Amino acid sequence: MHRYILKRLLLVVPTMLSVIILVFTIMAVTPGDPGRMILGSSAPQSAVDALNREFGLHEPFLTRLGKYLWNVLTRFDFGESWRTRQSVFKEIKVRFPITLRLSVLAIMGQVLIGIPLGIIAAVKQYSTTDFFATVFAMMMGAVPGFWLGLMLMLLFGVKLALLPTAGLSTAAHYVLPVLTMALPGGSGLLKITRSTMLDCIRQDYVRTARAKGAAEKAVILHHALRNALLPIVTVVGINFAFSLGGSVVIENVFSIPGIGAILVDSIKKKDVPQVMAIVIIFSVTYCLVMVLLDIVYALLDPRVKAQYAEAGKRKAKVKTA
Amino acid sequence: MVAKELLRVEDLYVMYKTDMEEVHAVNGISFTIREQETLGLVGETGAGKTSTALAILRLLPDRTGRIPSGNIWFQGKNILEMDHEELRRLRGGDIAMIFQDPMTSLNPVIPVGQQIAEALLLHNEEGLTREQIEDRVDEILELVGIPSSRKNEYPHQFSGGMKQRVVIAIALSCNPRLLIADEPTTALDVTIQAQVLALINELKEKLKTAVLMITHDLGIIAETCDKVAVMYAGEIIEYGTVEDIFEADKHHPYTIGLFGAIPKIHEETDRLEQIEGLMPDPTDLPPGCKFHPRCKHCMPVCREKEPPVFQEGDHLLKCHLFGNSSGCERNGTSCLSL
Ligand SMILES: Nc1ncnc2c1ncn2[C@@H]1O[C@H](COP(=O)(O)OP(=O)(O)OP(=O)(O)O)[C@@H](O)[C@H]1O
Ligand code: SF4
Ligand SMILES: [Mg+2]
Repeated sequence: MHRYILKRLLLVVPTMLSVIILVFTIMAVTPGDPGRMILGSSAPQSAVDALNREFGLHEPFLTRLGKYLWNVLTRFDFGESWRTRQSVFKEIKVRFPITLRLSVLAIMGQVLIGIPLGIIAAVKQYSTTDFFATVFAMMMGAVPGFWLGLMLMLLFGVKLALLPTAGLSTAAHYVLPVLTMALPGGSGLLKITRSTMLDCIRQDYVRTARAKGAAEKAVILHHALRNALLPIVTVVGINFAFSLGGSVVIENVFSIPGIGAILVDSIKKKDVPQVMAIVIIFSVTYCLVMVLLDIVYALLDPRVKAQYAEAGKRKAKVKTA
Repeated sequence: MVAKELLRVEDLYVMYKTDMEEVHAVNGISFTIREQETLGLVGETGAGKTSTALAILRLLPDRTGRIPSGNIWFQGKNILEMDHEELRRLRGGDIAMIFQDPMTSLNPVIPVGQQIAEALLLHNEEGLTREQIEDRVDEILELVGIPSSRKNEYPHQFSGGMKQRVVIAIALSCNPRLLIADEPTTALDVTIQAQVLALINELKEKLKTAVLMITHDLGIIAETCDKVAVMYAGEIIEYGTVEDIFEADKHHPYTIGLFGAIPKIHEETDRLEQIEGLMPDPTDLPPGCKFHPRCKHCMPVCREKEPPVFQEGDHLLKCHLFGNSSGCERNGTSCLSL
């Protein structure tokens, strides 16, 4: 098991290398002149050329990529932002925690909305509750996030004037952006919870639990839900990664000083070191969430754990042979 | 002296209602099980055996399964009128069930020891402590032939036969008055079958449990049962002691087909023989005797009128060949509840 986790963690390294190469290439082949973007349209061409030279853009692509990788791998040096001339982490340090906090809150919201409603919808299949839960899930699944944000803003912020709509200065400021991020994901979670619970409730071992004399609540929560958790946890993990990326749009709608704004700005201005650093932060977080998911799988299902252990053992045998 | 009556099923109907159709799985059956008695319920696949068992525990599928009429008396109380709490105490406490398929009957994410302990905790009238319950779990596991050191393992680490033993251990953990064993051995290979059967027999003696033994296997009937009920298309068409079923002269044509040339009780017996034709479609049962499309002795009256019950001692037959003995006219179900 430990061996398995270690292996999964080591796999993060090649994944990150591929991400770096891919994004670096995309940034290089897309059109745009960083020097011109930074100095503006009225600057003389000679100044623009000088700046681009300073960024090393006169060198061939492979040399640039090689240098970047070298600096990252040997010195852990991600460079300076071309826009601000400061370490790329200066802004990330302030802004990434905000985005992360939003995403974590959004995931908690999704879990609180999706899982209980999904369970109730499954247990009371075809009831009115089930009907409304399903309709809600379908609507939320069909609506684009920014539109939902604008509508919530209009309703609660402007019409009812109950909640603030811009910035993150108080707890109340979090309500609308978190809701905007939690509702669509929560509806997906509701759907998957409902369908896996429906499946689990029909299983023989649930009937065995009833035949033992277990109370209905224990039958549902202890016996059925524990078996339904695997797909549910998967969706939670994927939604988390999604909301990290999706926060870019939501931050824009609610004027939140998260990492989304500078990511968009950096892409527009072709600030390659800054874009690279943000993408790397996103990908590392994503990879770690996936490893965490694997660990949670093993904790939830003894069969998965046995598989991990088995894989570890085989590896060990091959080595000693 | 006759033992006290434990379970009485009266004119029980079970129906499955789906969007498309109504399945008439059980059609007015009646029988009685006395204390410490073993009743065998035989019949082809689809005869309604499992449906009967599930109805007794009120475990029919929520939305589709229904009991439109009938009564199920257990120790003087009607199970069909019990509330949630009474049912909870009945299930696993007074009546326990071994399900048809051991492979899927255990929860894959809970250690087997805990699954047994759960039953004990749910019916903990003596107020056992956690340690005492753990000791009981060890004891029960050893009783069914599983080393208690394996109680923290999960179902996927056990073989099919061992899983069935765990299922039996769960069923027997609370000393039920009645054990419903739904084909407890069909999923197992022959040697394990014999072991599991011997185990049930042994425990039956030790714990003085009455058993409703559902099976396809004539060997099991001969070995374990006191009484036998033969089911066809949701009805009991013959009922009697094991001797009646194996040795009496008169038999229902279906039973004869089922047993091939009726084997003698001490001879080696095979599994039930195949009868020509198929069970009638339970969504569209034929009128009159439900066996008439397959019966060699079919008479005109069989196509129109439901046969009455013929009775000889405890031996009951539902067939026009034997006419109507005593005063059991109509469909005679009340006679079957002898
Ligand atoms: N959940 C269900 N929904 C619809 N029909 C069902 C359901 N369960 C059983 N039936 C039908 O009811 C009839 C009786 O089924 P039952 O399971 O009681 O038979 P059985 O005698 O136990 O058969 P087997 O020997 O194969 O276990 C069959 O025709 C079956 O198709
Ligand atoms: S009643 Fe008629 S059809 Fe039915 S089993 Fe008897 S002889 Fe055959
Ligand atoms: Mg069955």
